[in-house]
Amino acid sequence: MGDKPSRYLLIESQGNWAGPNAGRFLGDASALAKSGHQVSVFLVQDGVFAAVNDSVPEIATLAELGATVWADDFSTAQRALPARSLSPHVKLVGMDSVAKLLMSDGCRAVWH
Amino acid sequence: MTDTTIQPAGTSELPATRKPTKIVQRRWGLLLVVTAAPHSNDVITSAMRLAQAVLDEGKTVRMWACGYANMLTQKAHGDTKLINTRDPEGFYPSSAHIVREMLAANPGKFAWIACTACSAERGATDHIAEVRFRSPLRFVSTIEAADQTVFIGGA
Amino acid sequence: MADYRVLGIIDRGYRGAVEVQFFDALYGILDFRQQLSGVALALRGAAVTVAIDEGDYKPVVEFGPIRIDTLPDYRGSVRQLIAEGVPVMVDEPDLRALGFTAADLIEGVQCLDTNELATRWDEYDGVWFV
Repeated sequence: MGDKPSRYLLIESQGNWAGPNAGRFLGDASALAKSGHQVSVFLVQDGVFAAVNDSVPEIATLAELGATVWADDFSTAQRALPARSLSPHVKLVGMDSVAKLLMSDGCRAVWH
Repeated sequence: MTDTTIQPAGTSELPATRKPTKIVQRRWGLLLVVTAAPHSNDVITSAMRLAQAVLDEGKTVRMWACGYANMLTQKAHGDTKLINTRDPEGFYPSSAHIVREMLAANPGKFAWIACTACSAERGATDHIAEVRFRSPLRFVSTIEAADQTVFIGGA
Repeated sequence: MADYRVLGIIDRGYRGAVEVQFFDALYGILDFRQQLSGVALALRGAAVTVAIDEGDYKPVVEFGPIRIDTLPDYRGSVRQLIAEGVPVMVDEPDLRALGFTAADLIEGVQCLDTNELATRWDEYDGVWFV
């Protein structure tokens, strides 16, 4: 077994329109943050629907816990979401930001 | 491209003919395991974008295709998709062509592995030559050869 | 042309980009239209966003030196369906849940509660969740 991760990157690709498990995954992110881990959440594909306004309360919870929440710029553009106001807790980023975090020391990535 | 090299261990006490060998496995930056199916959601696009972004960071990337992701690299695709009846003259590259181009653009830095079991299970064993066939018995050793692994499920 | 009328309903959008390109569900509606005496399309769930009138999205992705500019053109396909006389309807509750209104839709797209369409299903020979 390898070293314990110092930070987590959770990648949510399914989103709240795919069923309740997306919310459960964001709950995993909250649980990690509450237990003291450094957590970043990246919303991609249909996962970016969670970034719309206040539609998904787990996003605000994550922000309150100090987690970073990113949304993929490409996926939001595909889905016409930049035309809407996104949650103030979410930052639009490109895949380059994800790559940098992913390849940094001690990062463990989990894709849902 | 090989991912293992065999080197003499350099133990001078033993005669040259009896020197033990030590297998040194090549290390990779990122292993992306993709088990989700094409045409189901945008997972293939996301995985390839992530792979490219990590390549842009100067790291190496291996893609391990499981499940129906093995359909992407079938020879039967040829270089282009089927004809778009609304744009018959248009050029629409096939997934196999795109993978081949990515491999050619990143020699020694990007590799594509096809899982032998998943390919056989789906009758999809005729991959383009650039793709490496690998048994799932070597799955964990492939993970161990990477600094980082991302597992994308959905098969 | 067969005397066969279809109501197509798409409630799952974005089912592949690089590997799909033009060959998405909207193309299927456009292509099958030739064989049918009538076809109408209803969009639900996340798929309502393909009918949003916007111009930010470009159907392009680059993998290093490889540029692919033939990704799905969702809004272009909806405009094409409208231009060819196919009724396109968007679910109002789902549109609203995503923060949009009927004013955000491509011209010609109708906005309604698509559950109400169920009372008109017998006007069609087939109701297909595409």
